[in-house]
Amino acid sequence: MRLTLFAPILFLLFMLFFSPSSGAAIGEATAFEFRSLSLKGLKDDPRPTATRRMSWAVRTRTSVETILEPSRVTLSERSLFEQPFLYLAGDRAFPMPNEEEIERLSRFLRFGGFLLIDDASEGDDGFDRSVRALLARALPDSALAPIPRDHVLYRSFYLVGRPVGRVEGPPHLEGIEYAGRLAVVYSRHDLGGAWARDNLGNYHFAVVPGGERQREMAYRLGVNLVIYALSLDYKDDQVHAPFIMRRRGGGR
Amino acid sequence: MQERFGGIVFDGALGWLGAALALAAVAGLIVYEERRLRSERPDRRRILLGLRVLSGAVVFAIAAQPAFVTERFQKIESRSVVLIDESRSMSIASERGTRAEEARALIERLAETESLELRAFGNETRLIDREGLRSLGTASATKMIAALEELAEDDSIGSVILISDGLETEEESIPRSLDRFPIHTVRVGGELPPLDVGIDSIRYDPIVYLRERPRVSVTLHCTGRCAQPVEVRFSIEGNTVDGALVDFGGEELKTVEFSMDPRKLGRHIGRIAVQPPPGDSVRENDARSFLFRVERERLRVLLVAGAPSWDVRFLRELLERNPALDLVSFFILRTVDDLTMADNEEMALIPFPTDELFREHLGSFDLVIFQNFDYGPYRMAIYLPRIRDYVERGGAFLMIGGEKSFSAGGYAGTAVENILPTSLPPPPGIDARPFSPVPLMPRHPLVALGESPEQVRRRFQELAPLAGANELGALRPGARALLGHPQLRVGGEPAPILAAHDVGEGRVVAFASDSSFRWGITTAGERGDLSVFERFWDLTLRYMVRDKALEPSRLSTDHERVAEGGELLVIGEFRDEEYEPLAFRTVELSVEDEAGRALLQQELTLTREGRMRHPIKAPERGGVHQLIVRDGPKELARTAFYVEGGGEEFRRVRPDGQWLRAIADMSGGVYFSHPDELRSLGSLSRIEERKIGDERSSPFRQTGFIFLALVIFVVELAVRRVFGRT
Repeated sequence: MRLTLFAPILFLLFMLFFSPSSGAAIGEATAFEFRSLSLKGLKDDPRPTATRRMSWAVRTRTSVETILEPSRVTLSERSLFEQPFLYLAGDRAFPMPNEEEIERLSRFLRFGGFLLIDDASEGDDGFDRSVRALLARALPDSALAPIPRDHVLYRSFYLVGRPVGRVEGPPHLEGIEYAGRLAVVYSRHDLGGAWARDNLGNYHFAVVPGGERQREMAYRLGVNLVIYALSLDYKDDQVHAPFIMRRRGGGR
Repeated sequence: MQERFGGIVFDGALGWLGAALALAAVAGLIVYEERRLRSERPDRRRILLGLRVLSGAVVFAIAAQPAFVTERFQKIESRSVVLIDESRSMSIASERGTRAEEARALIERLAETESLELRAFGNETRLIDREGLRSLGTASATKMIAALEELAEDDSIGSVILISDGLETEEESIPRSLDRFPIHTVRVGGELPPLDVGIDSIRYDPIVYLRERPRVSVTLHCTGRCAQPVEVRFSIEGNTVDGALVDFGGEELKTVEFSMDPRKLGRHIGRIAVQPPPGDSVRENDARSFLFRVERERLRVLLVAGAPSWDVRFLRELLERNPALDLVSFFILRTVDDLTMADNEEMALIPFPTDELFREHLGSFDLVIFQNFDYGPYRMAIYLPRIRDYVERGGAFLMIGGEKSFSAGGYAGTAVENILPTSLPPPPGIDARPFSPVPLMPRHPLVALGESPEQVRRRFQELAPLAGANELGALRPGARALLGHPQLRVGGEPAPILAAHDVGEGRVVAFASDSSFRWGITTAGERGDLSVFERFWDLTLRYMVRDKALEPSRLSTDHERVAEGGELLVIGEFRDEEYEPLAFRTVELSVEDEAGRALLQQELTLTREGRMRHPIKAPERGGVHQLIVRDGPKELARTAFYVEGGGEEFRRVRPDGQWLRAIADMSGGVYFSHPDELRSLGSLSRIEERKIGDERSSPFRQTGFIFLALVIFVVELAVRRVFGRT
């Protein structure tokens, strides 16, 4: 009971202690926003606190300035193009957006935007089918393909091996490459499920097969995804190669 | 007069062809007759066949009408031409004044007793009279072989007397075709070489690249006694960049190498100058200039970002895509305050190599970009003066805004503030209100998104607003604000958002926002046009590294090299510092030689667009020349061009008797190593037969032959009747 009483106070102190000391943008407008995409007919985030948690993780772990209360946006909103990052999570099938919305999604991706899709469904492939149908219409000349394990995405900040989320899932992420960069990354690991946490610091879901290491690796993958979206193949620059080779060789 | 047999011609129908046909017909007739007479007694057969051969010969003579040609000749003395070298090397001092004066004295002496046909050669061959001998020693090349080949085409010339120092500048071998007539050669220039130290040759790359250290190889000659070392200097645009002391040590040729460190793009003039020893006889070869062009192989850019952000991401992506650019980028991914929750070995982070970048390799970059980067946490304060020095020496520096830039990055009061185009207000100096910047110099290439100022202002209004701005202070003297804030004011003027100025040899641009990416994806999402973001940064980069196309005034010529006296088209576009065209402005165009002497000065009126296209005649003297356009006392632009020729003329000074002897030997002429050896042209004269006509005799047209032919026919007819043959 006492713990319950003091937990919010401890949290506030924690927030105060780790208040942003490495501001990186003029105001909130240019800070990174882990913004969710709302699609008609798709229930809003199955893991509603996940984006907030990941925003916090990115802010505290990296130099990237983030918006701590990320918003939601629809494909038809004018502000769609103000933030080049979108997070689409779901656990069930959804109806296709209309032509105009699909065209706006297509432009978002072609003009430099990044879409992270997170499949949170359990034993239902409806969301997966809808996602593939949507992408086939938004980027008809490109197709989802497994992202190889040596992709820069796995070393954009942390050295990450197998992708994991709340569930272990498939051994790879999928993605669509457009103009030499990943415009879409599709995870079937329920990343948001591993990130989601209440205001008292309790995780909403247990990770499967389990262990805090798996949850931590899901966080690290999330950080890598954000850093990749903001720096693309920066870690492929020649200057980084010897350091990373040495660390990879060390069995990490 | 003499005669000799000149051959046979056939005057009958069809000439030689008719004669051949007639001969064939006659031969056929005789063969036919011989077969018919095989049954006759041998004595009769011989008589009849003999008469038939005789008749056949008569028939052939009548049909073919052979005629005999006799050629008539007259023996006369051949035409001789005196060919005199008028090149500049003939002005070198010799035993008797100059080589040209030696040649003149010889001509005057020969002319006392003989009539001379004189021609001079240098760049070209021309007829001269004795008055023309005064111009010897002025031509910028010695095209000796070309002159002899030209004379060889004239069949009427029987011999040539060549007077020269033998210093051919164009050819390296003597063609065998020069054996048509004897060429007698007379060497001028004395026996002993004069004391001379000069430049024999310069080897250099006409195109060099920034950051390379190309070498210039200079071969010097010393004729005579060169006891003391000689000082040689290499300068570019008048600034000495290298030097050497050359000790010949008894050798005639010595090669020395210089290096240069080209820092500015465009055409440049290099100059090698020798400090001549006392008594040096030829001053003209003591210095030589050459033209070279500095180009950029790939633009090297260092991008340092204080944190990953959308602005960083889109700019780096744009730079990475540019094939003409070599990008080295460093992003600060983690600050000391961040809790990564992992060991270093589990992270792909590397140390920020400040010393390596800002001490060792800074000079290797054409452009350094600080994008939302604060130097404080990385102990970089000691490197900031190096960045200032780097700019003053010709580097380019771009600071892009953010909460770690300008005042917020702690740059106020540092060496970097001193090179920024504006002062910095006290920190934090941040205004987070969205805004659309206002073009303050709409014709400036960095912001010229449209044809007219109105169009440019409209285009900026159509762009997605920027998210916020760093506050910049007042402009420094000479700096220009290109974009301004619509609300913020500095000294009553719009606060600068984009400002630029030159510092020393370098250039600095400040862009006080961290959301230019909105001119890309955000504007494109709304309007479908992604180009503004790319165009803006492409132009900024080109402007920073001084792309000639973006300078206010440009001057060039249609050729970098031109022949002496050749035509050169001058092309220019001139704008003031606000990039407004100097419409209908009268400017002065001048051409200056290496010594700064004005060879041409013309006043010209520019077009409405401030443009100029004007043909000029290149100077008659070879070497590097400057083309300068001035508006009153103010120089608007200058460029250099090279006039071919002249440079080789004093490369060697020792007379080349071997060359002249080889010409004489090959053509059957006589070589004279000194003008005094040639006493008169009489000893060289050649008697030649000149054909004065032909005479033709046609004996088979004469009456006697006709009578003889009739007799032969009648006799053959009578004999055949006697022998019972028809």
